[in-house]
Amino acid sequence: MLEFTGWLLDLFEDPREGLVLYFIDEDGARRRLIYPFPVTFYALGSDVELRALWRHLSNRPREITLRRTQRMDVFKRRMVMALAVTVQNPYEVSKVFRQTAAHFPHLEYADADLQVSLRFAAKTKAFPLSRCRVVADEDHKLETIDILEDAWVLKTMPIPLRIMTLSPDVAPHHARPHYLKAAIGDEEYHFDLQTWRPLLVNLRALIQRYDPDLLLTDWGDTWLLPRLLQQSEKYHIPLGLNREVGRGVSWHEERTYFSYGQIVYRGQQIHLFGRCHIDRQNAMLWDDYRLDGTIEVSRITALPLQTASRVSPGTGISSIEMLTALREGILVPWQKQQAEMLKPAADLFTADQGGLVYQPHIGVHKHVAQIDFVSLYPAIMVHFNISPETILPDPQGDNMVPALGLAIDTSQDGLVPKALRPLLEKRIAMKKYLASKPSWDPFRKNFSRRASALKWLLVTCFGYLGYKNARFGRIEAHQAVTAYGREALLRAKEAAEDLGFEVIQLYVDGLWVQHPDKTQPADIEPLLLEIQARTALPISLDGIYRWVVFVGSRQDKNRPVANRYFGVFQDGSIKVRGIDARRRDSTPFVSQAQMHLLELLASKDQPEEALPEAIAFLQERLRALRHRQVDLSDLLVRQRLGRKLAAYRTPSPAARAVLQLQSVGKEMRPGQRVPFLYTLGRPGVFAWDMPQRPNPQAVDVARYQRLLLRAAGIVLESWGWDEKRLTEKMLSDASQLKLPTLPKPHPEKHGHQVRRLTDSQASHALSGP
Amino acid sequence: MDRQITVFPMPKTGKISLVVAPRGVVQTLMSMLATLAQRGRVIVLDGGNCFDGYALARALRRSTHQVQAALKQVLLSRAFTCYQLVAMLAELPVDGTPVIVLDMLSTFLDENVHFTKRQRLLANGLNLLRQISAGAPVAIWARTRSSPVGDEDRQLLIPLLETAHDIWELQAPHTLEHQLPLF
Repeated sequence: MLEFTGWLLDLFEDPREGLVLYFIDEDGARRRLIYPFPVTFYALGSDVELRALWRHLSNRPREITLRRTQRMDVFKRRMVMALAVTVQNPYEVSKVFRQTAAHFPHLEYADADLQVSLRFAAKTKAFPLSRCRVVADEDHKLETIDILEDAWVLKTMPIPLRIMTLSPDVAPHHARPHYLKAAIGDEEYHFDLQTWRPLLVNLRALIQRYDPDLLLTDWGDTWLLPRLLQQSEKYHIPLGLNREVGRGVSWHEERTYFSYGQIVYRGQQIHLFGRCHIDRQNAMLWDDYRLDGTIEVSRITALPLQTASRVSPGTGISSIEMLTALREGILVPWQKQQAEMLKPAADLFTADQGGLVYQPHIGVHKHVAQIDFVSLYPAIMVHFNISPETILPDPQGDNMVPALGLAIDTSQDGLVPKALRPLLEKRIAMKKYLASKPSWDPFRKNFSRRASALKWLLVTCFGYLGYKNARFGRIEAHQAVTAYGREALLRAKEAAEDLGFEVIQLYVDGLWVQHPDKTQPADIEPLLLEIQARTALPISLDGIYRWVVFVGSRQDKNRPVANRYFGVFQDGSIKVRGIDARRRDSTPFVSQAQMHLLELLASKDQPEEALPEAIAFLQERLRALRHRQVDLSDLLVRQRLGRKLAAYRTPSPAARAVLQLQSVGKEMRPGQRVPFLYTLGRPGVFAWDMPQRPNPQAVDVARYQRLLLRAAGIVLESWGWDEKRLTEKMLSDASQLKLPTLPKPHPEKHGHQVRRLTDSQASHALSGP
Repeated sequence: MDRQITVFPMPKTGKISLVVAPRGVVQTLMSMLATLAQRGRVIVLDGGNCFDGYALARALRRSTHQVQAALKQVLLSRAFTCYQLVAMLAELPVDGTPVIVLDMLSTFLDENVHFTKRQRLLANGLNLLRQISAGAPVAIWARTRSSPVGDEDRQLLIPLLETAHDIWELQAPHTLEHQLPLF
C-alpha cells in the first residue's frame, strides 16, 4: 500500500496499462502510478442504425462493452436513446471511434474526442496540478485520489516544480545560435552548439541528475528539441527528455487558422511524457501571464500543463464547458449539427447589432470617471442564464430578451452559466484582492498573472458562444448576450444622466462620465450603486482621469473614433487605447517616443507646461534618427503575413519581406509576424531575419520621421501641435530658427547669438500654440 | 455585375436552378428575393454569411411601401459549418415555400473536415434539395472565387452542376486596365 500527498503532474494513455499518472510527492519523490480507466463514447441514431452498430462492435467483447442508455441532449432539451460504447483501454478509444465513424458515417456521436484528462477530472475530480491525497496498491495501481484544493481556491500551496530552462543564445530564425544555455535554479551551463556529442552527453547527465518536472525552453517546439532529437539519434545518445521510459516524444503539427477575423499561426509542438515541456516562444499569452497564469489555466480547464500552455483561451473555455457537461451527464456532441433558427429577415436588423457604442466627444476632458462593468458578457450569461439550451424561440413568460423575439428558460441552470459561474466569481475575488492589497504584497504578482489568465478565458467565452465549431455555441444565445449588454449600458447611461453626470463616451461595457463637482472616487460610489441596482450586474470604477483625450480618426480628425484615447489617472498612471504606443505593429522607436511624450504630459500639473520639453525631446529623437544613432532593432516593424504569398496581388511590406526570406530558403506561414525595416529604394523593406546585416545607411529615415511625427501629433494635437504643424516646424525650415523675440543683433554678432542658443531655448522658441 | 444582369428567371417547383457567379451577384439575388417575398413566404439558407438585408430592403422599397411586411416573409437561417447546412436542409418544412440557398459551397470548403466527408455531406444535402424541389421552387447560388481553394472548388461544384436543371453561369465583368485616352 502506498499513500502520499502531492500534485498530479501529468497523465496520459498507455497501450498496455490504461492510464499512466505522474505525481510530485510532497516528500520530494516523483511517483508513477497506473489506472485502468475504461472510457465511453456514445452513438445516436435510429434503432435500426444503432442495432447495426451494435452487431458490428459486439464481436470484440474483451476490448469493448456495449449498452443502450439514455443521455441528456442539451440541444433537444430531453433525454435521448444512445448506444454507449465503452473501450477498456483509453489508448484505443480514438482508433475504435475513427473506425466506427468511418463505417457508420450517418450516425451522430458524442463524448468521442475528449482529452483523457477531462474524463479523469470528471470521474475523480482530480485535475492536472491539483494537490491531492493518493492511495495506491503495491503494484502502483491507483486506488483512491481525493483532491485537497479545488480549482477555485484563491491561495494555493506552491508546487515544488523542478524547472530546467533551455535556450539558444540567439533566436534561431534570425541568426545561427552558437551555444545552448541550460539553467536549473541558480546554476547555469553553456554548451557549444558546434560540438554535438559533448553537448548531448552533458545535457543527458544534467537531465538525469536533476530530473526536471518542466523543461522550459525558447524555440523548443520549432527548433531546439527537433535538433536535439535529430542529433541524439545520429550519435546514439538518448537524452531522456521523457520521464516515461520507452515512449518517444509526441509531435503536433504546425497550423494556421482564423480567429476573430485574423489569421493566426501556431508552430509545431513537442509534448513529453511524465515531464512537461513548455516553449515560451510558442506558448499562448506567455508574455502576459507566464507560468503562474499557465498553471491556473491548466487547473481550471483540466488540461495537462503542456497542453494548457499552447491552447487558445477559446479551447480553454471549451474544455471547461465539456468538463461541466461530463460531470452533469450531458452529451458532448462530436460535430454540432444544431443550426440557427429560421427567423424573419426583419429580425436580423435588431438581433445582429453587437455592442453599444456612443461616440466620444473629441478633445481633452478633465476629471472624467471611467466605469466598467466587471466581465460584462460573462456576467450577463451567468446572471440571465444564457446557454444554448435555455433560449426559447417562442416569446413567453417574463424573461424576454430585450428587443429580440426570444425568451430565456430560467427554470434550471444552463450548462454555460454553470460552467462560467465559478470562473467569474474567482476573477472578481482576485480583482478585489488585488485592489485591496499594497504593491509589495507577496501574492500580488502571482495573483495578477492568474487573474490575467482568467480574464482571457472570460473575454473569450462570449465569442465562443457564437463560434461555428463551439460544442455548446448557439448564435441566438450570442445575440441575446449582446442584447442584454446594450440594455445594461443604456440603463447605466440613464442612471448617470439622472444623477447629473455628462456621458462622454459609451463603449460596449464601459462608460466615461463627468461631473464638475464629483471628482473623487467616493463621489462616484452612489452612481455605481445606482447602476448596479438598475442592471443587477457588477460594476466598478476603473479610475478618475486627471485628463483624458479622445482622438479623431486618421482619415478625418473631426470624426470621433470609439475606443481611441489616452489619459492620466489621478494616481499618475497612464492608460492608452488604439494609438501607436499600444499597437503591436508599431516600431519600438515610435511607440516608446509616443509613450515618453505622454509621460512628459502626465508629469506636469497642466499638460501644456510640458510642451517645450516634449518638442525638445522630439527634436532629439529626430536628430538621433538622422544621425543613425537609433538602434536598428528599435526601428523594426512586426507585421503579420495575412495570406499565402501567391494570394497577394500587390504584396504588402510584410509580404515583400517574406519574399526576401524565401530567396534565402526561409519559409514563413500566413499568421506569422515578420520583422523588417523600411529601407530606401526597392523593395522598400529589409527582412530582419536575412543572413546579412542591414545597412544603416539604407534605412528610410524619411518614413520613420513621418511615423514619429504622426504618433507625436496624435498626442500633442489637443495642445495645438498636430502632425502637420510638427512636420512644418521640424522638418522643413525648423532648424533655421527665427528669433523674433531676441533683440536685433549687430550683423557681426548674429552668428554668435545663434550658436549660443541652447536646446531648451530652441524648444521654447518652437513652442506655443 | 448588377448593372449587367438584373433579373433571373424565377425558380419553379420541380426544378433546381443554379447560379454560378462571384460575390457581386448578391445584389441581383436580393432583387429576386424581393420579388419572391412580395408573393409570399420564402426561405433563405445562407451558407456564406452573405445575406444583405439592406440590399433586400432597398430592392423592396423600389416596388412596395410594405417593406417590413415583405421582410417578415423572408425566413432566414445561417449555416457556419457544412454539418449545420445539411441539418438545416433536413429540418426544412416541406410546404411549397420557395428555398434559396446562398453561397452553398462555402461551408464545404472547411479544411477542418476531411474532404471525403464533405463530399458525402454535400451529396446528402443535394439529395435533400432534390426532395424539397419536388414540392417547392429551389434556387442555389454557388460562389466563384478569385483565388480558388486548390481543386476543391471545382470538385465540389461538379455534383451541383449535375443536380441542377437550369444553370446560370456569370462572370465578373472585365475591368479596364487603364483609363482610355479621350481622343
